[in-house]
Amino acid sequence: MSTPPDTEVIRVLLVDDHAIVRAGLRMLIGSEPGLQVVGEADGRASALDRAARLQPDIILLDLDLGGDSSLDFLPDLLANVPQGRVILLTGTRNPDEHVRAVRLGAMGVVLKEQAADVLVRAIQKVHAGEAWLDPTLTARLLTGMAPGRGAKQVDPETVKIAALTDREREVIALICEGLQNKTIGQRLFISETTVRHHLTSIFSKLGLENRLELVIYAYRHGLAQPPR
Amino acid sequence: MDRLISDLPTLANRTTTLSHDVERRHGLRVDLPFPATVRGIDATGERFTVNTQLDNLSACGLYFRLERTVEPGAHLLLVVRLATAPNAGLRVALRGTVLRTEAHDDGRCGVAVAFDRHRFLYVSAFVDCP
Repeated sequence: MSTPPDTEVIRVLLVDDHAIVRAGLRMLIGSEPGLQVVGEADGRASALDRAARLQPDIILLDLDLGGDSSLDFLPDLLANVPQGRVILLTGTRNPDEHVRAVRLGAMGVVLKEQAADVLVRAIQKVHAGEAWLDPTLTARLLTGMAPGRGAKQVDPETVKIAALTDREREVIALICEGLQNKTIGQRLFISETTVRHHLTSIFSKLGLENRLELVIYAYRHGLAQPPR
Repeated sequence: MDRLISDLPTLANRTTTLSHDVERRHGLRVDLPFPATVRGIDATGERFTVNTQLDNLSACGLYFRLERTVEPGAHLLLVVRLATAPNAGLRVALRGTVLRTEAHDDGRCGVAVAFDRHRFLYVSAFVDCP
C-alpha cells in the first residue's frame, strides 16, 4: 500500500521592512511546491498582529527592521504563535546576534547572501522540527551552555544590559537626568507613547518594576551617572 | 511634603511579589551620599525637619544618619535628590517606616527606613529639598 502524498502546505509569514525584499521572497517561496506566503509585515506592530491572526507555520524574520532590532520582540512574536517557528533572515554576520536570536527562540538563521534554495531547505527543515544553524553557530551555542568550559561565565546583569537597544539606553539616560516622558519624546523626536513603549521594554529586559528601580539600577550598573 | 506624598502609589499592596523578587530588589542598591530632607517625629515626641545625606538607597529602603534619635516604627517623609551635586538631578519623595536604629561613633543615630510609597517630583516649586 502506498503512502498518501504529504499535501500539507507550509504557511509562511514574511517580516521585513523592505518591500522589494518581501516581493522577492514572496516570488521565491510562492514558486516552491508546498510553501505558501500567507502574509507580510514591515515592522513590530504589524508582525505581532499578523502572526497572531494568521498563525503561520514559519515566520521569516529580518533582523534589522528600519533601525529596530526584531530580537526585541521575538519572544512576544513566539508567544503569539505557539505552534509557529521563527527563522532569522539577516544580512549581518555578527555571530553574537545570531546566538542571541537562537537563545530567544529562533530555530534557524539564514544569511541573505546565501543561495535561494538554502532558504527553501531551511524552511522545510525547521518546519519538520529541526534547527537550521551553521556548525560554527552551533558550536558557539554549545560552548555557551557548557558550564566552566569555553566561554567565561557571564554576569546575568551584563546579559540583560546587552539586550538594550541604543534608543533604550538614551531613554534611560534621559530619565536619570530627571526628564518626564513627554520631554524625553521631544528630545528624541518621538511620541510620548513611543517613550512609554521603550520604558515597558526596558523594564521587561532588566526585570524592573518602576522608574525608581530603573534609576537605581542605572546608577549601580553604569548606564547613567548621577549629577556630581 | 505631606501633600506630595498623599496619593503615592503603594508598594505594600503588592501581595503577589515573589520572595526572590524581593531579595533581588533589596540587592538593587547604590551607596551614594544623596542629599535628603527628612521630616518626622523624634524619640522625644518633637516634630523635626532636617537635611542630611543618605548612606545608601535601594529599591525598597534607605539608610541615613541623624543628629537626633527616632524610634523603630516611626513614620518618616523624605525628599531625596538623586544627585551628589546641589540643585541637580531627580528628586523623589518617599514615605517610609523606621525599621531599626543604631548608634554611631560620631554620636549620630543611624536610621534604616523601608519605604512603601514614592513619587518623583518634577516641579521646581518644592523648596525645602537641599
